[in-house]
Amino acid sequence: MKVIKKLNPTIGMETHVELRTKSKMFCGCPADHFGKPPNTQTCPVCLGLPGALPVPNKKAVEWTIILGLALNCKINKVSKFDRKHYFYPDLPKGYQISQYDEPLCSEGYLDTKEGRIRITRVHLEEDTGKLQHRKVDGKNVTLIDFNRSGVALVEIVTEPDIKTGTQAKEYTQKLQNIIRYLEISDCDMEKGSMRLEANISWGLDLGYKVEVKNLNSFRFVDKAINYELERQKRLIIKGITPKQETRGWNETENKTYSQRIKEVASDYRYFPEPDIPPMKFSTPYIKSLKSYIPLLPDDYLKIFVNNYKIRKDYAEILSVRKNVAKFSEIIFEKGKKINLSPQLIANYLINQKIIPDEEKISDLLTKISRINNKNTDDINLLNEWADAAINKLPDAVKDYKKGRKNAVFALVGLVMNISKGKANPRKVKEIIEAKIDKV
Amino acid sequence: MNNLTIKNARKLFVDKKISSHDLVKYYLERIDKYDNKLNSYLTVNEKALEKSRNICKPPDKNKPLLGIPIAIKDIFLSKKLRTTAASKLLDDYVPMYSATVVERLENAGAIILGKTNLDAWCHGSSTETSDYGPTLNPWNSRHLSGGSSGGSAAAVSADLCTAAIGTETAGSVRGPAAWCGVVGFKPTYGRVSRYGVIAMGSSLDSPGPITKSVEDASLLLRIIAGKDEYDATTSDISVDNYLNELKKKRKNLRIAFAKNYLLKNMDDRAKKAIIDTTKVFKKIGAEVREIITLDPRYAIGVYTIIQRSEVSSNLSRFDGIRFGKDRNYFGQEAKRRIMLGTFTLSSGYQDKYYKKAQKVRTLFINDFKRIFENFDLIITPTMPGPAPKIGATKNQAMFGEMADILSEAPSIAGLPSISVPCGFVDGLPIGLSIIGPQFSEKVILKAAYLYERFTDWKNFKPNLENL
Amino acid sequence: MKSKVKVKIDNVKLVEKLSKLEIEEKDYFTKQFNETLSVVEEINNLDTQGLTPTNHVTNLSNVFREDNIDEERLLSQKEALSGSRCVFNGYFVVKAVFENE
Repeated sequence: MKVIKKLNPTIGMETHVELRTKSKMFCGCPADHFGKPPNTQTCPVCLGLPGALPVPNKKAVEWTIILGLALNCKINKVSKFDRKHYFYPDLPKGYQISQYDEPLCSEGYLDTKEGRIRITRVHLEEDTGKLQHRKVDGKNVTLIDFNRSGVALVEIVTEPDIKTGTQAKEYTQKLQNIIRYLEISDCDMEKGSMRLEANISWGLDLGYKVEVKNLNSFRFVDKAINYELERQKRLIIKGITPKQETRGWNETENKTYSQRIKEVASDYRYFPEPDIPPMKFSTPYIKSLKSYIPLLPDDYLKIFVNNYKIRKDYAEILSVRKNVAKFSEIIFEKGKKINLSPQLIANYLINQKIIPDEEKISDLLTKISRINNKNTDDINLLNEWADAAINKLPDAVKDYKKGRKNAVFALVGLVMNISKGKANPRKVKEIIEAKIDKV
Repeated sequence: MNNLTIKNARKLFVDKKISSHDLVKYYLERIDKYDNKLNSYLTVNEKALEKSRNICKPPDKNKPLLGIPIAIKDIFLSKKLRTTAASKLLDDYVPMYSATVVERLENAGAIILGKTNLDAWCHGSSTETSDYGPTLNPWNSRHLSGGSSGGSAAAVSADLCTAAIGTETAGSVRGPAAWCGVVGFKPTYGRVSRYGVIAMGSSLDSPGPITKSVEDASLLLRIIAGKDEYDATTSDISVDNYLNELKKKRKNLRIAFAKNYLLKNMDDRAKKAIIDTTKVFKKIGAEVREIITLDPRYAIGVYTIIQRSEVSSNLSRFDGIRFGKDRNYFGQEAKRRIMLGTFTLSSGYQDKYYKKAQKVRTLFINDFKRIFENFDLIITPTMPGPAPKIGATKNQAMFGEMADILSEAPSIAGLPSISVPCGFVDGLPIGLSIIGPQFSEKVILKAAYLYERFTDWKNFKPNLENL
Repeated sequence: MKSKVKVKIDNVKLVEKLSKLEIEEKDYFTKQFNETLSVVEEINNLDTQGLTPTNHVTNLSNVFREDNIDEERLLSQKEALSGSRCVFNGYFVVKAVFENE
C-alpha cells in the first residue's frame, strides 16, 4: 500500500515589472520601446559595447523603494548591484546587472482573502533585448532587437505561501493595482510590462519545484496553477517525483508543457558590480519617500466601506483603478451635500459603468437625483411608505376619517420624511386617501 | 624637432618655429623608418596629417594641446578609428564612439597620431601576448618593451610621438615606462574616467600618461582627469593644476623606502641604482627612512584572483554578435585568464578565492594607511630588474603577475604612483616608483619633478640605428 | 589550515562551458591551471578574521544619474548594427536558439 505524504500546495510567484521611467536603468536611452523600429534606441551602454559603463537611474531606485514601502517591506539601509552571469543572445554583456544578496527591499507582505502572502524581496535590475525566431533564406534564425535592453525592471518575489490558483490570481491583481496606483508602471501583461512566473510544488520537502512561464493573463494564472497541481499530484500518487523543470502554458490546449530541465542551481557567479558604488539610505530619506505613497487600493476600500457604508463588492470594484477611486470619493462627498447617499451613487456608477471625467460631476449628480426622484413613482414603494405612515400616525387617520381632511398632510409629511424627500407628494396623498377610504 | 616634449613643442608652435604639420610629418617619417621593426603602432591615423594641416593657431588656455601629436594605447575606443585591443578578435572593429580620455584630449586640441600595441586585452607585462607580435625595446631590440602599454612606452622612448596614454591595472603603465626609460604615471583609481576603455580589471584599471618628462605628465593628467558622468567610479574631488603645483614650494617630504621591495633575486646593480635615489632625495631635503610593508608576495594572489575574476566577467560581452569575431579568436593568455577567473567566481569556490582575496585587499589598504600616517610617499623599484630578453618567460603561467609583483600592492589599494628613469643596467633602463596615498598626485609629481631635475636620466635617448 | 585544491580535467570542462570557450590541449592547460592556483592560494595563509571585503576602493556611494534622455549617446540604427557581421531588416541575426532563462 502506498503511503501518501501530507501534500500541501506550495506556490510562489515571481513578477517582473517594467518601470515607466523616461530613460533606461543604466543609460540615457529612451525607455519607451514598445513598437519602435528595431535597434533605434540603443547606446554603447545598453548595447554592451566594449568600454561602456553603467550609471544607475535615480528615479528607478526611488520608485523601487516606494513600491517596497507600499508592500510593507523593510528597506535595506545598504544595498548594491551585482552581476549575474549567463550567455544568451539577448543579454549583450554576458551578464545582467541585478541584485543578489542586498536587494533594495525585503520582508514585506500582501494580504489576500485566503491569507497573507509574504514578499521575500523587491529588487531592481535591467531588462534584456527581445528575440524573434524566424526563417530567413530558408534558415532558422533568431533576430535580436536591443531597444528593450537596459530598461529598468523590478522583480517581486514571494515566499511559497500561495495555496490556490484563485489566491495567486488575487495576489497578482492586487499587485497590479498597487503598482498602477503608484503610477510607476503601466503594468500591462499584453504589452509585456508585467510578466509572471509561478513556482509550483506539493511541498518543499519533496525536493522539486516546477517553474511555469508564459502566463500572460490573470485567467491563465489560475488555470495553469490548477492544471499543474493536478498534473504533479497524479505523478506523486504513482510514487514519481515530478521533474524539476521549466514549463510553459499552452492556452489553446489548456495545459502546461515542458520547456527545459531546470538545473538545480545555475551558476550565475554573482559578484558585486565593480562599476557601481554601493547605495546607502538614511532613515529620513526613506521616510521622505514614504510620503510619496498615495492612498492605495486597500485604503480606498476601507474608506468606502467604513466612511461611506458602500457594500464591500461595490467598494472593491470602485477601488481597482486609482482614477475611479479618486473620482468616487469626490462625487460621494458632493452627493452628501445634496442629500444623495453614497450607496445610491455607487450603485449608479457601477450599473451604468460610468467612466470618470467623461461627464462633469455636477451633471452626474443631477442625473442621479432625477432618477432617484423618478423612483418615487414606484407604486410599491409609495404603498409601503403610505402603510408605514398610516401605522405610525393612527390619530391622524382617525382625524381624517372624522372629516378633518387636512390631517392627511401630516401623513404625507411623514412619508416625505421616511422617503427622504423622494416621494411624490401628490401621488402619496392620493394613495393615503385611497387606503384610508378603503378601511 | 628631436625628442620634443609637449612643453617644448608648444613653445615652438607659439614661436612659429615649427607647425603641427611639421611635427606630425616628422613622426610619420620616423614611424615609417623604424616602426616596422619596433612594432609600437597597430594603427596609424590616416587623418592625422590632414588635421595637422588645418591648424593655424598656437595652443592656448582653451586648447592647451592644439596640434600636439599623441599616441593612444589600442585599449581606448577611438571613434571611427580602428580599435583592436591587440587581438585578432577585434581585428576589423571600428568603434562608433570615443573614450572620455580620447575626447578630452581631442577637445584640448591634440591630434591622435595612432593606436599603439599592447598585450592583447592588457593581459601581460611584455606585449608578447599581442596577436600582432611584441613591441621591441628601443634600447635593445632583443629585449622586451614591457607591458601591457608596451607600444605607448616604446613610441615615447623612440620619439615616434610627443607623448602617449596607457592604462595600468598593476604595472602596465609604469612597467613599460621603466623598461623604456620614460615617465609613466598611474593616477588614483577613479581619478581618470574608464568610459570607453575596454575593461580589464574594473576595480583596478587606471588610464595614465606616458611621457618624456614629469612636466608633460602633469599637463596631460590635468587634461584627462576629473569626474565623468558616464563613469560612476570617478571621483568628484577637484583636479589640481598639476603643472602649477610643480613650481610651488612644498614642505620637506617624508619618504618611506620600502626595503622589502628590494627582492632577493634582484640584480645588484639595479639594487644600487634604487638605493642611490634615496641619496638624491636626501640631498633635495627630504627625510628618507626604511620601512617594511606587508609582504608584496601576498599581493600576487589577491591581484591575480580579483583581476582574472573581473576579466572573465568583462570579456563575456565578446560573443561575436554585435561586434568582433567569435570567442575562438581569443588568444591563449586571454583564455587562460578567463578560465581562471570563471573558476574563482564559481559556486563552491568563490568564498575561498574571490571573497578571500577582497578581504586580503582590505589588509593591504590598511597597511598603506598605516604607513601614510607617518610618511608622505613610498619609494620602490618599479620592476624587479631591467627588461628581460624576448621569449625568456615563455611557459610561465603567471609571468605577467610575477613581473608586476612590485606594482600589485599599491594597485589593489587604488593608489597613485609614478615611474621615473633612475639608471641603467647593461644599457637597459630601470625605473623608480614613487607611491602616494589616494589623490596625492600633486605630491608625487612634485617629488618626481625634483628628482628629475636633480638627475639627468631623461637626457639619455635610445639609438634607433641599433634596432 | 591550507587546503590544496587540485583541479582535474572534468573541472576544466565545466569551466569551459561556463566561459563559453574551447581549450585545446586540456592536459597542459590543467597543469598550468593548478600551478596558478598553488601560487594564489598563498593568500589563505593570512588571517582575515573580522575583515570586510573591499569591493570598491573609492569611498563613493549613491552615484546616480537623473532620469533624463541623453541624445548625445544615442546611436542610429546604422551605427548600432555597424560592428556586426550578420544583420537583417534592422535586427542582429544569430543561428536559432530555443527557450531561455
